[in-house]
Amino acid sequence: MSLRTDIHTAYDVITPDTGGMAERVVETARRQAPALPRRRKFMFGMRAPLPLVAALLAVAIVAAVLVGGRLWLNTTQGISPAGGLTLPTLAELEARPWQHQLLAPSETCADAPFSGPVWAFPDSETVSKWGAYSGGHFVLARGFSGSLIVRSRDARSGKNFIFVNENAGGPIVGTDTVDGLPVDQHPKAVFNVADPAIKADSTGQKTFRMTIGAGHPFSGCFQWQVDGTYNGKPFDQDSYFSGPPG
Amino acid sequence: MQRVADLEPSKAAPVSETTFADLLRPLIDPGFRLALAMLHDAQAAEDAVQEASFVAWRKVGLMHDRGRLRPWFLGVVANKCRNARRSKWVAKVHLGVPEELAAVSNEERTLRGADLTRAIAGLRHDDRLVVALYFYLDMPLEDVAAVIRSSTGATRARLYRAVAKLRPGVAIEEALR
Repeated sequence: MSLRTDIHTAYDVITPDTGGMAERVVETARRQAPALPRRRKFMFGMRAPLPLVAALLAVAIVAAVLVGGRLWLNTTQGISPAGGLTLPTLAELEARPWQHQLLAPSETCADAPFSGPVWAFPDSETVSKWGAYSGGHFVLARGFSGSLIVRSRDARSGKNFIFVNENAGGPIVGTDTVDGLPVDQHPKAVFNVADPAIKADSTGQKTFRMTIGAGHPFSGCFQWQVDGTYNGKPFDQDSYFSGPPG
Repeated sequence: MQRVADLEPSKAAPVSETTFADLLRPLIDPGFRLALAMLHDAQAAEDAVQEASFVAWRKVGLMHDRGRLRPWFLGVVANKCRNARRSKWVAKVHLGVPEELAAVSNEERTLRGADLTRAIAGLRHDDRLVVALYFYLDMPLEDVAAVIRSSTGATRARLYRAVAKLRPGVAIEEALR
């Protein structure tokens, strides 16, 4: 069978009956779309005399050079944009307290996904004799500086999860064979925002790859914590997600 | 080049509700199939198509060439899918076959399909998009290029790379049949 046929077959199996969907979507759009707020571009008219415009432009260029120079110095010398605050070291980030409490057996594991300025989305998974791995991307909004660390624990047992491959950081705490390849396990993921190899997209967002691993047994309730520096201030973001135990 | 998505809604020529419905209705099914191929979640796929329909309502009047409506709408759906995948990290990526279907399906065929959908889910967004449009929606390469706003040559190159990741051992031309 061709790849095309295989793909059709694979998706046909998971495609539900869509009878009535077109009418439902169109009717909802017809009823609700006119009432939705519209995003408007911020525009203003400029009617100033040309010399004044030129003077303002000159001031803006000087300001841009000064601010840009300061930002460049901050980036290259490891200083945050906010008032000369020294960026924390990895050890200092790791020393920040864990924000989560262990869940009691009676407590439910409610999903609380990342909602920005850090977002995470998975795109692959694999298993080994040791446990289960899930790979994906973290997307960071504009405004982060220095390093971010990502840690994760089992919400029931408190057992730390590990990270492998790209952006895994810290000492080697174990080894495994994943998809036939040996990997070192590390206690956290480290994203270096200042790495010139990591290019921002048109919106200033930067994307980092990571792979988390959960050793058997695990409860299926995962606590996440991201620590770093955002807009010159200490930043942490917490998250929960639930899944099947393993 | 100014794109429809960049235009001010207020500049849209008025489109009657009937015309809008007639234009949008045939796009819902391909939009949903694309979203399902991108997200592997029927509810999230319908949400993405619904959100895309709101955008279409505001901007469909700007389409002077209604022949471009389909690739434009599918591009909006693809963007909604990209945002949807950024919204959360799920412990178990729901790929492949629901358990209740496995019992009535040929086991080998089911496993192969699950492996394939998992492999497609592992592709980057843009690679996954060209695979879904070309192989699942059966769109010509020129139309795929219109959806992703790229040249036909660059789209072909992206498709080749994606196929090489999915089926490393398969000759490209054989895979693209």
